[in-house]
Amino acid sequence: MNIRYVLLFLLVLAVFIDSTIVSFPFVFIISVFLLMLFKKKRVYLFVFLSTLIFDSLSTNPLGVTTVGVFATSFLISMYSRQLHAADIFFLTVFIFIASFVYGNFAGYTLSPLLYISTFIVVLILFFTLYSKRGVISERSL
Amino acid sequence: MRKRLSITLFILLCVSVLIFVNNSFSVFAFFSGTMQRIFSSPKRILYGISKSFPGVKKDEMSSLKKENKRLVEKMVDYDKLRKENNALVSQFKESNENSQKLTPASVVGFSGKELTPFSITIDRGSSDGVKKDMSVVSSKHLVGYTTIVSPHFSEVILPVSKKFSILAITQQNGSEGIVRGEEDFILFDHVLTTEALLEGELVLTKGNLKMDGTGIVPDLIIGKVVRVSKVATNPFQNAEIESMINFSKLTTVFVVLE
Repeated sequence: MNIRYVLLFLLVLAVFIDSTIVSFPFVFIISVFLLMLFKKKRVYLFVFLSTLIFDSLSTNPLGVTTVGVFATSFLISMYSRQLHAADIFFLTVFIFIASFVYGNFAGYTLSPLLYISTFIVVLILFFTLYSKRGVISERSL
Repeated sequence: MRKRLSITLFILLCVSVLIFVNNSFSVFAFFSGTMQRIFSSPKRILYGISKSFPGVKKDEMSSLKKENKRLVEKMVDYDKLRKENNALVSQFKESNENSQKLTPASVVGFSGKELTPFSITIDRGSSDGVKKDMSVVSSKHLVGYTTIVSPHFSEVILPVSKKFSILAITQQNGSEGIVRGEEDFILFDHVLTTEALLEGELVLTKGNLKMDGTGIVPDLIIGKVVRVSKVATNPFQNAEIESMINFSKLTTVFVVLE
């Protein structure tokens, strides 16, 4: 199955789950990963609209998730252009810090232990997907 | 190609910032309202499904049964007192009608921990007459008050949240203090040590209503005192309060509009 469609479906699912039954920045993480993985205008627009809808549904100030996602992705794209290296450790730490900052800004209240453990699980899943496609070394960075 | 995509990314970032800065504009409020109206039902269904799973522990059930038995016994005494009170009220020809205007709301989301959420999202907003700082109740119990109000959804802050802070009074002795959230429990703080504070005592809202109907309605049950902490050298004492509402199981609440 095409990973892009799986991730896009996960993003739509996360928009509902994140704003209704789970208090964890899944939308933010999936969106950043989508923008890193698939550098296509259609994907950018899809993420843009999804994050705006998510802000509406979770009573966040409209645009807070969109700004967080696109600012993080822009900074990652700047970094990757300058260093030309696949630094998984850097990306992990960067996305972790970015999602933590965003989480505090968007009103998520999680215990640090739960936050770290859930984040690690999510990251392992995504990097497994990445490495299978060889995206990190060839395409994304 | 890569440069063009980076420019697209930058343009979208700029548009996002513009939306974020001007999110109170009517066009964005319309967008939010439309999305909330469209996805209100799926969210309500999803929340309902997540709360329908059996999650009540056995020991919790047995303690609830004991509590229920004790409350039934209290109800007998209460009925007697109520009859006496009604007689007194009619004697003084006072109106005792409940003039509160309530609107029912379904819970469609939450934030915080699953078992002890800090806030809930309800499917009523400014288009339904809901304003910021309105009391939200479930029967005679205080659920919280509204903090963020959008066209069709509102965020209700719960007593366990650190952002929660209201004036309260004990039912039995009339000891005044401030109720605030501590994430894992509710604290009844700033009670003078000279005031009597007993375990098992009910803590009620003192009330802080404004002319426009916003504010906290008086005499709503916040919870009961479960642990009192008193230090001789400290001018204030505090107590841990236990709410009788299981916030994680709430599906319908009422917003006090007037």
